[in-house]
Amino acid sequence: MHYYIYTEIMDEKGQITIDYLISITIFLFAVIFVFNYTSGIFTPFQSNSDEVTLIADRVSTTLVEKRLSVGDEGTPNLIDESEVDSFFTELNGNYDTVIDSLGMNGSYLRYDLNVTLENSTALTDSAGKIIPVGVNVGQTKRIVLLRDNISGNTETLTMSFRVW
Amino acid sequence: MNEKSLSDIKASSSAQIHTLEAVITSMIMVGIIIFTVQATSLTPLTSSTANAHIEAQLQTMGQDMLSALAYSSYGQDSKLKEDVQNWNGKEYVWNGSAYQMFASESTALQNSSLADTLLMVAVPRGIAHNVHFAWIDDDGILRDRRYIYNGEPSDNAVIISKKVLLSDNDVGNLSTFYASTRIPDADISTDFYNIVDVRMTLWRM
Repeated sequence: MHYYIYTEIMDEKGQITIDYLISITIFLFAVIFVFNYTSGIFTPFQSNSDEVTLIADRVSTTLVEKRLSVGDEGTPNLIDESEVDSFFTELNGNYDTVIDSLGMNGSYLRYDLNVTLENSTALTDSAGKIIPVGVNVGQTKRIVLLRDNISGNTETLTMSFRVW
Repeated sequence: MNEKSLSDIKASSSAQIHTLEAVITSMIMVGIIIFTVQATSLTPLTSSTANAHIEAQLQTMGQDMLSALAYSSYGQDSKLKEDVQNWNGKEYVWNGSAYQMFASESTALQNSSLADTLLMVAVPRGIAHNVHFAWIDDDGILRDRRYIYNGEPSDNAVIISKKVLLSDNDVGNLSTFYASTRIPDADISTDFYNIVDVRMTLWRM
């Protein structure tokens, strides 16, 4: 008797596939909606250093290939030792003037800069502000060839530009 | 009979089971939503080794390295050219402390400015690197051979290249140079020897 009832109920539930079809359609639509719509929601609130990285790139190009450059067309990253010395002195002395001259001043936002020069073993020169804790820092490293004006000797150094 | 079975179901305690199912289902759905939101906020600019900024930085570094090596003062040969001239046609690998010949482990790479620069710039920063020399052979086909090789680059590797012009008197003994490097004399009648393309591949491990 019990068994008979059971089979009768099972027969009536043949239509469950329609329910399943509707629900899976709704579910898939929900997934597509989430993928399409929510992907951009949280991105603006995540910390990122896109903007400062681009500024660091631009500052490094201006400095290495223009201001400090010897002007050698084939080697844009050949820089002049006395220019480098005076730049580091000026960045430490007249920090705000240098920042202004690099275009890192805005109407309501100012960017800060830290520049270091290192050889294969140690830090040889550094200038600018000290990087605070917990900020997004954009960094660009350039490999430069430093030329001594008197002897003409060159040395390969790494110059790092950090902007925040 | 039918009536009885229906009322049987209504009277049964399976309502609790349905509630439990609903709770489990909603938990799964919430979990999926959280997962999807987390997964899709991966954009091309999300910080990772595939970040566009890292590729740009590698490109800048590589370009700077080759530019610095290609610098020749007072009409002397550049460091890059000397490296090509001094090449013995062998492949070298980084063994963790020095560049050693692939074929014989005891032989280290000597007098190579490329290796010195890579040792200073790429090795301390964990940037993997390959250097190939490429040229056009007698049949007009582009050939390239490994100079420094550290494995297959990743999908986000960058390639930087610099051309080096070789004249007959740069090479010295033409037949010895050809025998070791397989770089042929492109024009026998003139002093022009060949143009070697130094290709540097950089990527993050």
